[in-house]
Amino acid sequence: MRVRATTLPMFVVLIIAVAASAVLLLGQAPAGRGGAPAAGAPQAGRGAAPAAAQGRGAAPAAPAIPRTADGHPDFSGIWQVLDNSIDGNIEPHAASWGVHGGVGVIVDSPDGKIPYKPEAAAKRQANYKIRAQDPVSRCWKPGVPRINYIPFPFQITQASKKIQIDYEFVHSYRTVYIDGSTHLEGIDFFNGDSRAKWDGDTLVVDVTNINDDPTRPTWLDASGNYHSDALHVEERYTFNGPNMITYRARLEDPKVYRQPFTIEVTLYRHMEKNFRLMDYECQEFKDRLIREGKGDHLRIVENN
Amino acid sequence: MRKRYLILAAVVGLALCVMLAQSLVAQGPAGGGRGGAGAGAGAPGAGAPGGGAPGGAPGGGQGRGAPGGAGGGGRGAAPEVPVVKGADGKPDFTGYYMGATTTNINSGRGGVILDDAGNKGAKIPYNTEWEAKAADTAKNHMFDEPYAHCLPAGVPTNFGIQMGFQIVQGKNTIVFAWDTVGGTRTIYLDDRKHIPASVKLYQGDSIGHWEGDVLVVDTTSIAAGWWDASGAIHSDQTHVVERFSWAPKAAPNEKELNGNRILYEATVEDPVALTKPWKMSDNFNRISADRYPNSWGKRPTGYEQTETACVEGDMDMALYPVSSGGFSKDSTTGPSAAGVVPGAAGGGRGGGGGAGGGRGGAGRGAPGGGAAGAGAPAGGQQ
Repeated sequence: MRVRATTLPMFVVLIIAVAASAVLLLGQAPAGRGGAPAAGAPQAGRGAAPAAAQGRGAAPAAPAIPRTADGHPDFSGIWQVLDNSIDGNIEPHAASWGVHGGVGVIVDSPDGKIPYKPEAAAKRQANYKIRAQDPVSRCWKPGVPRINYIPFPFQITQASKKIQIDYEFVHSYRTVYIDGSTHLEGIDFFNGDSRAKWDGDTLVVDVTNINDDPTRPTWLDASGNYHSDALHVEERYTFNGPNMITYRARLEDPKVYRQPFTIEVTLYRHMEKNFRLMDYECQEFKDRLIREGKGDHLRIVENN
Repeated sequence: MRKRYLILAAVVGLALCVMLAQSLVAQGPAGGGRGGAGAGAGAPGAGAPGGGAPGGAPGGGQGRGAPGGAGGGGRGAAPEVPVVKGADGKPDFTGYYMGATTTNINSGRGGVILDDAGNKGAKIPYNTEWEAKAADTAKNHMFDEPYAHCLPAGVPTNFGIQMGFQIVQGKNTIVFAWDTVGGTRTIYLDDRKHIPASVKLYQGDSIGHWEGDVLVVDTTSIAAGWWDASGAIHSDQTHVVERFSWAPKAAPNEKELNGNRILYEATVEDPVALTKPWKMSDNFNRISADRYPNSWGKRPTGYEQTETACVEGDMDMALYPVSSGGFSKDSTTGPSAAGVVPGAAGGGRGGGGGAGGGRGGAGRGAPGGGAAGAGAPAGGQQ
């Protein structure tokens, strides 16, 4: 009796000890292994640690969108617009030679048009007349936001404090800092200076320090829609399902526009097996055209 | 009596605990490249997988996943190598680095080629035909240097031909971006295959995998190009295998380089131009301003690599005479223009800031770049 009375609880203790250790270990397993990224699959790499912290639990329920180990949306992948009319003209337009017709992407202007100041509208018309010299056809950097909707893919590589965006077009790239840093002072760039923060699951990128060299301009499209060096862009990247990004950009430029306006574009993930960024070394092709006498309009015209 | 049972129970429980832990840890990597992991959630010791395939590549067609074995990475890391690791337990190379400037890969500072004994300073083992081709290129065709026309320099050329570059490491991709002509390069770490050999890319097609703490990259489909800026040409049949790892612990007087220096090793094959493959070894040191965040101007977040704009500032084609490959009709310089090309090539290469009008000042890309890029016509143009 006495022995029974003492051994029973001992077994209980033993069982509890084993159970506790098992629970402890199993509980650790997902944290330690984390992610279990399935190659290339968008669900990949949803870190268990922060997920648990956010009360999502360790159960790997199919996530709506891919996330990084720190819990933020993971935009890593190769993206591109499907609507190639946008690069032709961001305003509503009928088709023309080499340009698909499109309904336009400006979402907060009643007629879908850019609210140009009168004198700026005239300059836009002048640009339209020389659209064969579109800066992009001359192989110069497209600038932001155009670089995101030219008909070329781009690749996002996301680290914790920065996001690198590599563009196939003339191996251009941007680094988007998410480290709390402020914009640089006294220097400007074709693709601007990008500083980001998270607004919930939306990546908000503030782009300033955009240049406007009259001999090397950046346009908003191939129809001469343009901006000045006062342009300030706020980009918003939001997942719309795991394989689409709703990309919004608010353009503010008091020198050229009467009021800010917003474009909205859908970016699609490249799902093709083995898809990757290739080369598009535009200047090679341009130089060849000029050599063959077919590209005089693409020559660099220098005043000096 | 009761106490003894308690102790017994505790001991048995503990033993079971340890056994369970061991079996779980051992299952980790074996469980099929689950890798990934670690995710900062404490327990990096137990969790850090040895060599699990990063992308979870099932079966790991290329023999990934395997090395490292049970609990390897986390525990067994040799103490002599200060490995910087990311949240996923893999070495994390994200940062800004400088390579040696290899303007002439056969000599001087560019002497990175290893001889059979492993010492630097060997020459490219060209066959007779390509030795002559390279010599002719150096003498008569310097204008054709791809890099001088804003084209990406290639592999491994890009690590030596210009100064700084940055690495951003993601889960399935590691990307490089250079600070001068601004070439980019992607190492894919998922289970993809090489592109067809008939398609050539300036930076080739790079697929990587982890062997323990070493990133091994296999690159094919590299376009014909130059291995340096001095005419060391190669065919379009090269194949390069690179190994990136954190360099062994530095000497006491260089201890600041611990965790700030990548050991880079490459083996370069070119059955068309070479009698045998050549090997090189180099160190990439983290840019010092990146090591000391407060040292780069007033920016508390440290050094940043700024935009580079090469094509926008590229004037060599416009200003060089037709006789040396450019578009200008100017004939006063004539054939001798070849002699001044290197100077102008330097101008074209300026890049950063270039057409931006040399406003710069802030970025490393700017000095020289700002002026040279736009103002290109170095000497001998007039």
